[in-house]
Amino acid sequence: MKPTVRSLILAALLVLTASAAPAQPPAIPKDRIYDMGTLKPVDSSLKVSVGDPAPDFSLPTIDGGSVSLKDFLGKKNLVLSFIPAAWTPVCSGQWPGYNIVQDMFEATNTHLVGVSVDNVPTLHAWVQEMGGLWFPVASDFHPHGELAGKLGILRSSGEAERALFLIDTQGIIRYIDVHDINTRPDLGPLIKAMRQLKK
Amino acid sequence: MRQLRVILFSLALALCAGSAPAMEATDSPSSHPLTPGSIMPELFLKGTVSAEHRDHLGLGPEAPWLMSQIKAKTVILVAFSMYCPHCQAEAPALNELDALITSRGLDQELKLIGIGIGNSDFEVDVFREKYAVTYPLFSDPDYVINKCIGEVGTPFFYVLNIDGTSGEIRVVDALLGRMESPQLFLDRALKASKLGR
Repeated sequence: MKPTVRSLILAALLVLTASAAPAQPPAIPKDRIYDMGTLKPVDSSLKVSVGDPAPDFSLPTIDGGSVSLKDFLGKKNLVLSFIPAAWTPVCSGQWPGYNIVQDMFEATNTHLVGVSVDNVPTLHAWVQEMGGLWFPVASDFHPHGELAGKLGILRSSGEAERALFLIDTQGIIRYIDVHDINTRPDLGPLIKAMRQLKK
Repeated sequence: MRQLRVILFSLALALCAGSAPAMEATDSPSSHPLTPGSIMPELFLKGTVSAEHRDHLGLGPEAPWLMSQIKAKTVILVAFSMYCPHCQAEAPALNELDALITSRGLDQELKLIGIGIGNSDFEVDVFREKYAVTYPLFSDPDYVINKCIGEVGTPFFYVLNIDGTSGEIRVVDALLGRMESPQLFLDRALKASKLGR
């Protein structure tokens, strides 16, 4: 093969490789999202209040590790972001937004953990599809919804509520937002609570 | 040589296929965009807008502001969301588009604005600061504006001609997904709006 031809092929291959690599994380295509329609906004009764100690937990994460309350005690504040289910519309549009506010969590010494009652492989595939997240995602699958049940946010259908819990370094719950499952919680009040905790 | 031709032809085909643009948008199942030629209802704009940006748009200090009162012949309206990865990726290109409008001396007749669909003022502020957004952004926390503009996915671009006398807002072009490039999109918007003719 002549050197010029070889160079041509090499150049073409290089262009191909470059064009095949996604420049940005993709959003999940619409046809892979299961639309559950409009659901009862809240379908559970909270078992904890602001000021209560958070229940202990240890959950497997999609990177093969685990996350426990004791990992953060005395070190970092913790936000647990529960979403009802992988592959559903609002959930698929909530966590990608948290991707651009990592600095706000770091500035308030707060760690974010995403939690769902889906199993680890499902959560792994879903998070991969959304292009990855900077925070760990934990599975409350087995025993099913154990942590969600202790908090009082397990719906009668077996999913968790769309809920946010802010837990301080002493393990005390300082902020709760059990949100309408059909809508995304405004980030503002959570960040405000995190900033107040830092003072 | 024939074998080489086959290899080169195959590579050329693969290159063409690889360059076909995928629609880069977070689409909405209920989306029904307004079509070019149709009239857009009046929009009541709200949000945290600096005095400099209000002056640029010819708007007073108090919200809500009427879309038809924006001092321009043409407005490029970008529906975005802080939560949409494609909008996050498109943010630098939109700043480029804004700079291009100014550098071509079009910034009196053509104004670029963004509306954060389902985003609170706080969330719009996060987006503005994260990407050093140079053009005015408004918020639409309750999807009121999005209902008026066809419950579109994000990012979504409307090119709108505003009749300075009647206040009529006419859609002259619409695009779901990211721009091919700021230059090409500006050329397309200018052609659709007939600005400068």
